[in-house]
Amino acid sequence: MARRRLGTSTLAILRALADGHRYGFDIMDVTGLPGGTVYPALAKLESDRLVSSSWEDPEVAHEEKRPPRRYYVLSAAGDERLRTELAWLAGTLADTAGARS
Amino acid sequence: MQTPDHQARPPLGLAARAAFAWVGLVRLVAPRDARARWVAEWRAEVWYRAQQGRSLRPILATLPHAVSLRRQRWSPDSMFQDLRYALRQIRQTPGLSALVIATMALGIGANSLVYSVLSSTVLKPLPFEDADRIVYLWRQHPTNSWWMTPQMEDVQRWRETIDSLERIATISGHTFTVNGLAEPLRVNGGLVSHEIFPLLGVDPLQGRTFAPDEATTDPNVVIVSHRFWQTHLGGADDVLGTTVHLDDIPRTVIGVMPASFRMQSPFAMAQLWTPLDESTSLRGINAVGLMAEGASLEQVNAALDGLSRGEGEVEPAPDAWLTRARRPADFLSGSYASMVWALQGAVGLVLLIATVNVVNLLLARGSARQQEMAVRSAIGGSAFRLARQSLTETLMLTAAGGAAGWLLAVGGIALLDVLRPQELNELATLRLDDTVAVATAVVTVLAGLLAGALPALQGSRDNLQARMAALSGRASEGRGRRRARSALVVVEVALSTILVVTAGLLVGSFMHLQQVDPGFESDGLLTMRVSISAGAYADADATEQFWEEVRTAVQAAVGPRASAITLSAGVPPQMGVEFGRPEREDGVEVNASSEITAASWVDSEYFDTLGLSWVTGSTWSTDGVSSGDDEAAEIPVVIDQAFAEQVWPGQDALGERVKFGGDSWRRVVGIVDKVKAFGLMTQDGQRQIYYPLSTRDTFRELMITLRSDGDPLDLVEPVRQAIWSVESDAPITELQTMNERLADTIALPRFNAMLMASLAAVALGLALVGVYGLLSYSVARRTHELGVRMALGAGRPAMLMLVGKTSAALIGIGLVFGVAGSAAATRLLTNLLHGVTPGDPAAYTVAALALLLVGVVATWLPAARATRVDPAVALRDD
Repeated sequence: MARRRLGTSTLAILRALADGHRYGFDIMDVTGLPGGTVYPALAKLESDRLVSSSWEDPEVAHEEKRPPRRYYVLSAAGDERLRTELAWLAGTLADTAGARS
Repeated sequence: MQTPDHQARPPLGLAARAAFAWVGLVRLVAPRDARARWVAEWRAEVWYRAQQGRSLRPILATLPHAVSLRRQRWSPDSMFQDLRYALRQIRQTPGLSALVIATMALGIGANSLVYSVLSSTVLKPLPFEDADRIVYLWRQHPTNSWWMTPQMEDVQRWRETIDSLERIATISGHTFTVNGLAEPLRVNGGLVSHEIFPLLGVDPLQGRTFAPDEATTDPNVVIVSHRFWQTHLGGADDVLGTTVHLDDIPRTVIGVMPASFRMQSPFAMAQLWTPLDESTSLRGINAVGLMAEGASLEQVNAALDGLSRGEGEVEPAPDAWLTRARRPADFLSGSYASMVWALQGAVGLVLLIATVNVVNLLLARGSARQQEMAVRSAIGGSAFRLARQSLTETLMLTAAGGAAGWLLAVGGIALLDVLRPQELNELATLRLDDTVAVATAVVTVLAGLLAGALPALQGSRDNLQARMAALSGRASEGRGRRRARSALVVVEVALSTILVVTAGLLVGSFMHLQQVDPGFESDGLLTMRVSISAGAYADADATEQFWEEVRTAVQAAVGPRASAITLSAGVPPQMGVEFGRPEREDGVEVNASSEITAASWVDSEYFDTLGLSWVTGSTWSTDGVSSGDDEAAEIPVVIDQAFAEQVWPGQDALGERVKFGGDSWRRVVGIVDKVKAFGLMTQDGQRQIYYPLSTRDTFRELMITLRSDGDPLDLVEPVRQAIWSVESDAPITELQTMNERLADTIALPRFNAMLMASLAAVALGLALVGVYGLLSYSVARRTHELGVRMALGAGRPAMLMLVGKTSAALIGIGLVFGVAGSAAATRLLTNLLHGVTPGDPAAYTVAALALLLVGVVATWLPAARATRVDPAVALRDD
């Protein structure tokens, strides 16, 4: 059975993570997606093991006098999946462009 | 995963506080096991953004985030994973899984079977589309509240005036003599008006139903049942148009009803239907009505009340017959409905016991799997997920049990058809229909949830200490789990006690009935019913001559093998009935509790043949017996002691005169002992009266009773041949010994007792498995402790006592609760019991002994195992 393609929002989030953005709100700012899309997507990606999450270094939080935040990183499987999806997307776009011309 | 702890931080503004409050509210949406982390994550974000001075509006994302986490718990992927995991676990423990499935199959199957009986005969007795619109129309006597069937004039009037009744059909029950077959037969049937089949909404399988005027234009037609068509007409495809001889009248078959068609009692066994000519005023007409769409029973009864009132009257006249429309279910005998409800309660208890057993088995399995659970918890399995996986496994096992139980119910219906008493016509066409299927599915799911809930909760809540112990290989059953299992076994014992007490009462009741004295010498009597058709014997003289010839032929055929022969219109337990309070000649009012007198027309040899004891007087002589038609005539009668005591208390009734309503006087010429006129369950005060056979003009059927010095069944063939030598077309039915006839009258109590005893045996078996399981597991887990005790010098008796004490405590406490529960539950059985009370000590004693025996048997093996523990091995395993 063919694996289901990831949606564009999810791809955007993965891309943001690949670019080093780690916090949910930062990803919202970069992608322009609302929190109601980003956080559920992050939860799903984490459950699918494409993304992992951790608490930031408590020392850093202590310095800034605030509680440690939760951050998200792309896992190896997530990185691979992002590459595959982007490659497929690029190929599909090229085919479509070729067909139109 | 550890959540970060807080520390002293600079105060935040109002917006941040509002955001925190919002997080505090929405956290309730997040799954419980993820809640702590979720709250910490969002609070940290609020802090960060508030410190940075950035907008807190994105905090609204908390709600969709929490919802998405909750939805993940129920994603198709995760549920499919659970199913796969459950299947794997089931395959790894085949023995336990088979035991759980078999236990559930027994409980669910029994429930499905009894529910099919309840559904099709008590809750929904008519298998017709508009069954809830069908009513029976009866008249109620103005003074004594009897229910009587209506007269044809009533029916005509109702048809013309009551709009809330869409149509009314009439039925008159009739037993047809079917001639022209290998042997003449008597078959139940009815004369019916043409509306009956459209009213019931049933189309024939073949042919057609009656046309509106067929009763007058072409009455010699018949509609047959599917069973009659298959059994007696060869199931021929070209049956329509063939001729069947009923009561010597050739009738053309015009229709065959479907196999599923049946009417309700008293017409449940009807197999033949002929058109009823309503212009002949027949007594004993039953009227069946179909309420109009949207009409209620109250509306119909209000309209009927209006007809009972005189013009301008507000209330009916005191002597007016009232008419009532009643639901068919009202006419089921109270004791039958009580029996079915009692059975449903009993199988419900059996299912509960089975479920408790399964819970215990699963808890034991849970203990054995602690290590596995600890590992899964350690690598991230949430408590919710562990619990759901455990419940999924239980539901799969229960579903398999439900499917197997359905198959058991199918087999049970076939068995019930073989074992049921003839009286239970209602069970003749049981079916496992959609209603039963839905009920089975619901019961299966509920049983699965009940059985799986506790093990699932226990498995997910085992504390950190237990998990650590499990990981290090030193798992032991927690105290909570042990107590839960013990409590469940106590519940099992208590429920089993209730069932055993119930069965004991019903068996005791049946045994009492078996000892009841019928009031005459029932041994050695052979009885049979002989019928003749009106066509062959048109007048009274021909009929009288026929019976005399039969008597002579039978006497000649049996010779000295029969010491006595009698002909009568009825013998116990099928006596006729005289309605009305007896009236004394001196006008003194009779204080009788019942308006019913058992009555029969008998010849003068009747009393000696049956071995009835004379109290005083004797039978009538053949002279001086005149017909009751003459105003001045009186009829010599014999009465029983109950009649004498009720009508002439403290007086000598011999020679007294009595009558019923406007009939002629009866003079008492003899008084006999009381007999059980309507069977062994006849109430003691049932009075009886016997009339000379010759005072009735024509008997189309009579009972012949012979007293044999040997086995009465040896007389069957010579008697049949003798009767057929006089009339070859005379059906001979109900050929059985008197003892068989009397035994049939207690067939229902026998059936009850048998079913309840079976259920009690199943319950005891389940309780045995439950107690054994618990003790066995307990001994296995205490091997180390037992080894230490034996090493310190404890002998075999001490080991046996150790195990025995546990068993005795479980059984003892269970019995106490069970006895209390029985005292409450058995009060509901009162109208099913004869000669025993709900508090009968014998039943409770039997239950206590049975459960003690269960305890002994269940303890035996575990106790023996405990005494065989090798201290050296047990201590080395430490």
